[in-house]
Amino acid sequence: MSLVLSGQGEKTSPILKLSRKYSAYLCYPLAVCGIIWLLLLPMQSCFSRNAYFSENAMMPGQVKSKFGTIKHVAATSMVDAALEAERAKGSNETVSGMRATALHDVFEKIGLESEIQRFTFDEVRGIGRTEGRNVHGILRAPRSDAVETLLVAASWTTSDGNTNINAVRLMAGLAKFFSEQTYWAKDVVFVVTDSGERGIEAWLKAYHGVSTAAPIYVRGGIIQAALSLELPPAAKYAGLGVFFEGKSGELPNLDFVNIVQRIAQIERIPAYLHGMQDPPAHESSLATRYMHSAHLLLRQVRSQAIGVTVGVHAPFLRYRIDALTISGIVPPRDPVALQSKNDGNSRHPLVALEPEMLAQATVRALGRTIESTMRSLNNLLEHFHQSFFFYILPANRRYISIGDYIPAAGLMVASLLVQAMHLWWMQGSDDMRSSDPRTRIERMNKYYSFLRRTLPNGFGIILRIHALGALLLVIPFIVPQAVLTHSTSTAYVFTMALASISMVLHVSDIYWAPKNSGLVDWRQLKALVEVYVAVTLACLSVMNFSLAVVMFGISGLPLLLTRMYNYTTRAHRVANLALLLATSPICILALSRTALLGLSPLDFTSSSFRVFLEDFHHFSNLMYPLLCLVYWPVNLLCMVVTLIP
Amino acid sequence: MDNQELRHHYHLFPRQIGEIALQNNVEELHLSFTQGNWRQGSWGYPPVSSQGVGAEVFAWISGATQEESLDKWKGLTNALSGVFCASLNFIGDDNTSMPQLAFNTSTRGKRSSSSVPGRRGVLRHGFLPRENVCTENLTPWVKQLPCQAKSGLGVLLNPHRLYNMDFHSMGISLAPAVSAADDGQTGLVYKQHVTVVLNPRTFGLDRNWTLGELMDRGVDAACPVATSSTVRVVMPESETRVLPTPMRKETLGGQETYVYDIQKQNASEIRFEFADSTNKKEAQQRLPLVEAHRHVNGHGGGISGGIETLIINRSNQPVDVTYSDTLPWYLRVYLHTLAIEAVNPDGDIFKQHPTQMIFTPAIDRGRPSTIELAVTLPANTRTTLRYDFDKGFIKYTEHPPDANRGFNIGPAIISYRPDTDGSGIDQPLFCALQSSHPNAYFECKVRVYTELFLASLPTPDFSMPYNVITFTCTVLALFFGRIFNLLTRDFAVLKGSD
Repeated sequence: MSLVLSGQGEKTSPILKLSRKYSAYLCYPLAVCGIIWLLLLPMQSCFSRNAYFSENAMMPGQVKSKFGTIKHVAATSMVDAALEAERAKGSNETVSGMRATALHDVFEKIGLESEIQRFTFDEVRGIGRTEGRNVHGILRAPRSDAVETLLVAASWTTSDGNTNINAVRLMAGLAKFFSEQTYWAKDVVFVVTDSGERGIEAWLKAYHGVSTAAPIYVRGGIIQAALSLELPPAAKYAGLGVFFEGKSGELPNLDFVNIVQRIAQIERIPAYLHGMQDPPAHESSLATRYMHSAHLLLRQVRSQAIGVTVGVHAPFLRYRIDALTISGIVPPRDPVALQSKNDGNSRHPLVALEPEMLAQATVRALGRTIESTMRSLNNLLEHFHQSFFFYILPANRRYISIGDYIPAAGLMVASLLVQAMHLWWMQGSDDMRSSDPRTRIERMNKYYSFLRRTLPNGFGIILRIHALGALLLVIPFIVPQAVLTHSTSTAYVFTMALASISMVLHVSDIYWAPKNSGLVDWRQLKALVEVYVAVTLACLSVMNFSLAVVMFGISGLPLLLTRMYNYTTRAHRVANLALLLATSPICILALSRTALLGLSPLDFTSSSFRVFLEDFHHFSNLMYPLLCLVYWPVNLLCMVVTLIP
Repeated sequence: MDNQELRHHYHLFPRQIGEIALQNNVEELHLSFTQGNWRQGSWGYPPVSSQGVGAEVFAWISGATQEESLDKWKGLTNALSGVFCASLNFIGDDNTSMPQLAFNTSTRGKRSSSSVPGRRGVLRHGFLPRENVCTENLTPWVKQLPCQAKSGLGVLLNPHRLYNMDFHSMGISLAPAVSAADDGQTGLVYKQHVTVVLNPRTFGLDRNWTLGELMDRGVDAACPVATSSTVRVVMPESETRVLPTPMRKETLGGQETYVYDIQKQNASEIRFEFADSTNKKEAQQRLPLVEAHRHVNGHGGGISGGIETLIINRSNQPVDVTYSDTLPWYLRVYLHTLAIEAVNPDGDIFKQHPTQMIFTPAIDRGRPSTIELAVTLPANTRTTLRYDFDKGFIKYTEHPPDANRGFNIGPAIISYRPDTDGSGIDQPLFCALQSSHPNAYFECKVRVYTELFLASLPTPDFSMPYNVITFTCTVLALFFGRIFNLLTRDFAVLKGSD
């Protein structure tokens, strides 16, 4: 209470006096500073530093890579032969079943301990049951104690729906090559799934004994690092893309990203972050480079905040396994890629017309990159712990450390807190704020009676609106039919939105009645909501900076701009409501569809709400609970703040 | 030999070992160093009974009191540590267990009559899972041989070949035996063993090579003090030729064995010729009855985890096994989470209950926890044994070097008697060999060692104390300099020259 009282002019510490005097003018500059700080991040010379290797034990690129003799490249065709044999058998298995059996045979032939995992998963809990198969083979390292494991993963299809047969072929070639080497200190596991990230998640659950629904018996030690491959059909690649964000914004150790980029450079098949090549340093203007960096950062924000990931590395990061995806960049007008596109749906799903393997030189370069990376990881004496786990990458081989970008989030949170402080001081009538010592007792009585009158109402509004958010969160788990398809999910969200609007109108209507006047104070309500949002953002910013920035943009900033002063005209209220509607969940969900699925914002047959829900169900992605419990209610509360007297 | 007489028989018996054993009241001792996992699924029964990765010592030591025998145990490990250049001295209170089931040789059953009479000592068992084996351990081991590496089979022990392997285990054992004269006298039998699994391809050899080529050494003559010196080649069932034809053939554990007498034949000349393709299906018939694997559940980030042991019973009959797991005190086991489930090939699940259970709870920094269970495995099943643990917090000085790697946790031990039908046909090799020396107290019991696992405990930022120390020292140095200067300097007002 001392702060509350001192706010009412009771104690006159100079700092409090000053902050009280200036807090009204401070909050907006703070927010602007935060935004400017964000805008400075892509500036090449501002915060970013050159990448370096922190863990010296890895010695990237210090070995002579040997993959690529005719024998190894020939081993890649073992997959095709096995698939062909499986097809010739003509069993009535499903395509994924036949693929799994074929690959299992290949692994066994190479001499790996192999196993097929059959699993099922629900798209959302209770609906959309799907079956899947994972195949894995473990190469046991000679004379090792088998407590540590490295992993190479792939899915039968790439994340954009193309066939990923090239990755599986390369994996077979690598498995054959690796099994002939004696230098392994860690076991090497090869995993191929037919259900993308969800398949890998099922595999990881079984491997770590989290779930016993679909157990696997052939297991190894702790997985220290994982590399996922995405090699779309092509004759050769223009380069490699490196994708590293996890589902809830987890990142692999920066050293891992660095060694892959360094080794790829040595093997003459350059690897770019998100597949984006930097503009040439000396030829391009500052503006070009700035825009390029900004573009790259925005892609990272998208992946980190929303959870759009490329490749199957994302589930690993949740299990404290550093992982990233290497993806081939198909050059324009590549003959194999074009042909594979034309064959499209007419192709027999199994093999007969699987696209041709990559050109031998590309296979060699790719294989050597992976070989060299795996050997570097093999050198690790400990789990990755040096270098950074929190970073953003504005350009290839450059990084911004957490110490340099977190102030932006700090400034944003501070702006909310400062405004909350100001509003708290300004609540109630003016006569509660005089500093006349003679009226002290009288003022205190007034102040307490004001708080006793308004606080329960303020908290009541907040709780009622949050109850609505909680309802939004739990209904899909109680009545899964509500989100049966994307279309019904859209309908569900619209229904909830209508319910929310009526709730807002009802709540604010109550306090316009003359008998209820003075029961609620908009300044107090806004201050309470601001404190709550500020705490959420501060916590988020250290875990997932991108998500914190996005949340500030859609939730914090509109809150800051809501009822900037005590206006009374109808026009002001309407303008404010328009802003809130523009940043309302419905609007942003429609827009995020473009960012998330690359669809038109008005295409109602796809629902980002449903996508978030699925990600929450499978990967505990934070976006869904945040949407329901913070973003949605805060938007409604802003509307209430605008509408109450 | 009587214990009293033992001290006079150092002609062949290594004096170092003998004196250590006498001084520390050792009744029986086993020591082994192992590197590489024994792949039960493809290699079958191990030729020795110890194959847990790391260094293992267990011994029965007598003493008037528990304290005395504990002192002797510490004396023994420290002495062995010196002899074998290994860190066996790190076997202390917190990693010594006293298992009661796994190593017990006098259990019920057919051979119970062979239990050791008059044993008064208590068994202590220590395991160092992070101990690497190398030449420095081999040299003292070779020194204990009567002819060392000068002549005889010892010559073949070429470290360059022995350590470029898939599996390596060596050790010594000292076990009680009755005298050959059958006059009721007991004594000690000393044995040294070395086991390696080599891949000839590593050395550029393919399908046709001699023992000498494989080890890159030639044996000129047998050890002159040896009464017998033989090489036994157990013939695989696939098409393999071994030349020259042996003077004697015998059957060991149901497998045809060629016996070469080194006093008459040159061991390095034994030639192996393998057929082009070995039929894998056929080789699988020799798989061991029981196979076990242990894994850790939960991932590195969590503060709790679980242990899951998979025990496969390949036999058509139920098999009684004992399971013994020793965990360091910082993994706090919850025994109520123990669940045993057997799954048969049809996918039916049976809940199993241990027929006997001995649990020794841990004492922080004082004693590991030991879980011992006697379980019956139903025929043709995979049995999964699960229990959970929490990870304790440990002091930052207690972390090993490379702390972020985690702690190696020693193997669980599953032991059982393999010849359930008593025919002796499917015996592992070491049992079959033992049977030919009937004077030792011996019961054929196979111990299956599971894999180790890594427990990653919460790790502090080790550079932080360093930063703090550096910073504090800098501040102190600056502060101390100024204060010292002020305190020791005498200030005086100088008279101006004017």
